[in-house]
Amino acid sequence: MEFGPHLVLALLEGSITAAVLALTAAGLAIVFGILRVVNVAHGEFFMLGAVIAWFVTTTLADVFGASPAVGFACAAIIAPLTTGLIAMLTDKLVLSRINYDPERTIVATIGLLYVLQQLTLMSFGPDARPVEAPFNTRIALPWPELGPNGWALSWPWGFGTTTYKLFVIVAAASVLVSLWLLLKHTRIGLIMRATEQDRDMATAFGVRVNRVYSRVFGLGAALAALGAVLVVPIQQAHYLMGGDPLLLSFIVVIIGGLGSVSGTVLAAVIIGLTDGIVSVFFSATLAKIIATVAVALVLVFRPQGLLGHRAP
Amino acid sequence: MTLVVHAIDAGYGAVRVLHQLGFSARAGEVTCILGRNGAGKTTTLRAIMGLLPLDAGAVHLGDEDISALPASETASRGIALVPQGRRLFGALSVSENLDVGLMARRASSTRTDNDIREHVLTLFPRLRERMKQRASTLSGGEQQMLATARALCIEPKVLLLDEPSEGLQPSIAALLRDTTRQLAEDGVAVVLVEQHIDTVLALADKAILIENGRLEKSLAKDQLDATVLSRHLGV
Ligand SMILES: Nc1ncnc2c1ncn2[C@@H]1O[C@H](COP(=O)(O)OP(=O)(O)OP(=O)(O)O)[C@@H](O)[C@H]1O
Ligand SMILES: [Mg+2]
Repeated sequence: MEFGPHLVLALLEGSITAAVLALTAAGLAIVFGILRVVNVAHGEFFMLGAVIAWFVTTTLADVFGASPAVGFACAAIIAPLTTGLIAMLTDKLVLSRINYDPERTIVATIGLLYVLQQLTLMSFGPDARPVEAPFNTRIALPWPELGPNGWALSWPWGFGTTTYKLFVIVAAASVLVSLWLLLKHTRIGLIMRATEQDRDMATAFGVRVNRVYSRVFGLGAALAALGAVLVVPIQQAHYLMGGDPLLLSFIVVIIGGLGSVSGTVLAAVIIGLTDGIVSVFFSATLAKIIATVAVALVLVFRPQGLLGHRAP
Repeated sequence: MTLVVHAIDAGYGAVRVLHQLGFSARAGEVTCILGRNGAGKTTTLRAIMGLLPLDAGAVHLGDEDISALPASETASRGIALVPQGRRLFGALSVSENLDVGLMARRASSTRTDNDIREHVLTLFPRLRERMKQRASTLSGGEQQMLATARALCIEPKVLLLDEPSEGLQPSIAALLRDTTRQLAEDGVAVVLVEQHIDTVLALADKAILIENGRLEKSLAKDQLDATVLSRHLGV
């Protein structure tokens, strides 16, 4: 394959990484922005999403003979919902009791990370398990080429993608747009943003801050779980799969500007596309190195991140 | 309706700031709280709002013990705070800041959101031209107007004002003074923390003096004059 089609393929792969990363990191960003806590267990919520998706699809297939599409649709609802509820429960049992103290929350969520991981290992086992994609038609892509008779479309061998991969990009983008609409144009979004700005004044204006915190923590976890549901037909569920999403989410949240959802999405797109290109043309390890160097450069030269605001 | 503060103790962690502080603020009157920097004026207002837990004592509004309520319920009883330093929701637009105020409005309110919004914008027309602007980009005077307007959106029965004229040009301070007087005449119980002697003299129906978190003195309107005040405020 020539360079052009190869690059497009790399960008497509990068877009999928970007889409899933943007969803997952947006979850981490709203939790950081509004609760002002770092959730080290965020990657485990991602992992739970994948594992629950596997459980739902296989159970529905084995017990009711449901098709992969039906199973996936149910998983896309049940996995984020369950994960969100588990997160709200941990908020109630742990975070609210330590009053969202930043340092203690880090320690507590490290503990939570191991608890969730080991519980999953005990119940789900150590194997990676696949989830069948709801649809997976191959689409060959055309490439314009200048021949003796002017421009013509050719169909390079191996140049194509699948309907499911395109679906992942569209689905993630739609969820992010919905999140943006929720934050900017609804009453609950206004309450969330006011709480983010000034917790005390929000309280003085009738906002039940603890309830907002609990819901935002649940929403953040649900976004990670949804990212995992989208990726699990491509990547397989495994009890240790939370590490990479956690690290990459931290990287893009820092590059984007702590707590800034739009900055996080922008950074996810940049890191995702770079990852795609570098992985395809060079190596996946180099891609990780570049992301890590990028975060170091941002921390040194633009500590508030791409779209973040300088601390007042 | 009268706001009564009954011998409250409050503070931050182990540090007690208020000691057995008590006073009342009647509807239709401006009650001024005076005291030097660090005397505990802001702490008093925060304690009334429920933002600070009471270690002793109680706060009553009419017959109800509002200190037993969660802090987020205070606003729904008709108590609004215009905090020191404005504390707007900076990244939110002017219009959204008012929306937050409107959401907190008393359940018994019969007016529509639009009526109230129009009403506060009539009081502060400069805000109308800036509805889409981020609150943090407003000038100091505009920010104070917005902080006041946001509080008025809850149609308060009790309005707590914490140094509203701090750092304002005289004309805007005068506008806020007129608004405050009008609110009291309309039956609101106004509690005003103020350092400027002329503002106190122009507005106060009575004043209390706090020193080191204790009630030092209660002054009726006829006891308020420039010499007494300047002695107590140490200016
Ligand atoms: N968040 C806090 N944590 C600990 N101590 C505090 C806090 N806020 C205020 N204090 C202390 O409580 C005391 C009273 O503070 P407060 O802000 O109520 O004073 P004030 O009368 O409003 O002063 P000013 O005129 O400067 O606004 C001060 O000694 C202050 O240092
Ligand atoms: Mg003060």
